[in-house]
Amino acid sequence: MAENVLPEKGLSLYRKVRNALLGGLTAVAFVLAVTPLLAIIYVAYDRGKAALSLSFLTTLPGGFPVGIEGGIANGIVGSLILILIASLLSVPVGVWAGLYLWDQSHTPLAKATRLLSDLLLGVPSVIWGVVGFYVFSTNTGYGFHWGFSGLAAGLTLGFIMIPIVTRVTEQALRDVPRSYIEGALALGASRFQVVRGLAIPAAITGIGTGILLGVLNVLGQTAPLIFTNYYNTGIPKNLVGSNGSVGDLAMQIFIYIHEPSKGLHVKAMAAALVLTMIVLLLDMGIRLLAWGSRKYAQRMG
Amino acid sequence: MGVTLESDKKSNMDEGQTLAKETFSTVSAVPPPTLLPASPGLRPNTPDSSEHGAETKSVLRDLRKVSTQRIHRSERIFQGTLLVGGLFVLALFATVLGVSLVEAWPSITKFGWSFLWTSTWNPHRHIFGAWTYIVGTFWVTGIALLFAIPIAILSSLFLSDYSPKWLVGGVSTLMEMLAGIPSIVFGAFGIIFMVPLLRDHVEPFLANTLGRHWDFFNGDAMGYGILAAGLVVGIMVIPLVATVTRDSLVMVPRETVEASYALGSTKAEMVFFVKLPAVVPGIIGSVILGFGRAIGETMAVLLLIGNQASIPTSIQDVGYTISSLLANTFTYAVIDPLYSAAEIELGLILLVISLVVNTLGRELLMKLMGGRLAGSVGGG
Repeated sequence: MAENVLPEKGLSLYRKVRNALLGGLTAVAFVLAVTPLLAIIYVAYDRGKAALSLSFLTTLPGGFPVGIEGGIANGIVGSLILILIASLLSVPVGVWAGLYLWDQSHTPLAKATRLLSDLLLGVPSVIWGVVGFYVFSTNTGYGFHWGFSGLAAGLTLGFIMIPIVTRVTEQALRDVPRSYIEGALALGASRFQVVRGLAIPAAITGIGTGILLGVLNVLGQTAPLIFTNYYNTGIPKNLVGSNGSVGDLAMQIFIYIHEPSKGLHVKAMAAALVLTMIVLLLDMGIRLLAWGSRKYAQRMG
Repeated sequence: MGVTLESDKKSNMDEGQTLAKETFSTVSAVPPPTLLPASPGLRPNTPDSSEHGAETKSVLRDLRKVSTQRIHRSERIFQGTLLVGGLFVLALFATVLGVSLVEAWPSITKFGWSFLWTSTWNPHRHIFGAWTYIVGTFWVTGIALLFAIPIAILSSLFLSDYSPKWLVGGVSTLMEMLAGIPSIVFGAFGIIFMVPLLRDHVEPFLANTLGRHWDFFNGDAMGYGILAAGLVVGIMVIPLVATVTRDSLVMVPRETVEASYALGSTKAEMVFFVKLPAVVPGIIGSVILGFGRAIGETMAVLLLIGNQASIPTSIQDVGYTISSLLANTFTYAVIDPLYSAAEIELGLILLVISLVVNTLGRELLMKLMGGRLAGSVGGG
């Protein structure tokens, strides 16, 4: 770079060395930052490739210890069930709350809601697990008494998703030009008409992004499942009660990696690779969606 | 008064209304039929008294009022409906805080404040204290941040000033994507790769060099322990801190940079002595968020820390954190009300710390970023 070359002409040796050293330091730090993250993917592939095959994705675990044979079909199906339940809870509630924050953004109550919603984003996942346990799973005291079950875990994950969807929905709505909204209101549209006909259609990609972001965050959650669902090596017939646990990819990795068995570790790394790939593909989808909507907005002027 | 009103609005009114106005202002009798076509359906019964003009006027006014009121009412109903959505979020927060408080109450009342600094944890004799776990949590968080912050800040400087342009977009996207890798995958990576690496190479090396002088670096090279947990959590925190720091680096005004060059500084002097001090608030914010993320981290820590309830004295020791204790033993603890209450009080401590930390980080970054969502979701 030209700006880098010019001033160095009459520099003292000390300043020259310092310039090079500090620049080199940032490069080293950059390598240190990126390498472990790439190493994770490489290690998962390297250690798990022995177990990877198409049937790994489509068979249930078997053998002894359980999982040494077969695949992760229970985990994939279970994760899908959990995400579905979580989305069914969090999408309506989150979008609703996001609309509220957008529409009445300057009232004190909305400000408080926004603060608390943001704080919910930072609640550690073990706390969500404990809350989910007492609200859904426990068999004593108040709560739904559903036992360790897919419904309990799904709704707990839905709790985690709600603040994410809320915040991203609000942000997406705020990105709709204010003049559109004011124009519609000036033409005599009611607020409901504005929301249904203008704000939501204009913000729909943003809201979709928010939902996917929530799914992304919930997909790898393990700690809440320890409190509300645990694990199932098969696919359950019902989602409530003592036989209602579902399998889950993240939980499966946790259980396999905890066992002192080389074979299970291979399976765990293969499952970790699958989970990572799903997460990264989803993330890429989100980025494409955001990029696409930006392009679209540009073309629309 | 009536006359001025009339002159103001005359142009907007049709004949009948004008007539009605005139009748009102002059209080004279005007035959009803002229009124009727102007306001069909307003008055089904034709008024025949001499005051009908005044009544028509008031009816028109009422009608206008009613219709705006009706609009207002439907708007209010809609806004009220939206409010319910917001109340859901408030209720969710109340649930989180309420459940933790109610379930922790037996332990809070029994042990009081001394719970915080008691280091005994004996479920059989019903003595519970949080100190061991609080210390363990801060050890892991501290190691993670010490590892992550310099690397994250330096690498965001690299991305903002040193790296070739074609690298920036791709790499920062990659970093953000990798930040989304689930915590359990980091934990599995730690067990498969990090633990053998530490056990066979790093920890013996530490013991043979620094460990000769300071016991702090000595210990049995097990691989598992606060070092492994801290490093892996650090790897998880790097993308978050780097991303937020880079966002604030971008906002340093171009004039500042050029002024620094004009005064003859080298590139490194500009970057380190001008740009870096300019983004200190952003860095503090990102560190606070990183702290919030690291302190709640569960699965990776649970798999790597060794889960032994002892206070670490060396960097190679095993330990226990609040979150890993809860994830590990909570399902046993629920049998005993006081045991589970003590565990939930630990969780409450964690909750309070992360709420405080996140509030601080949020306020700081909101001020800097102008309300954009910056930050992360509590670790899995």
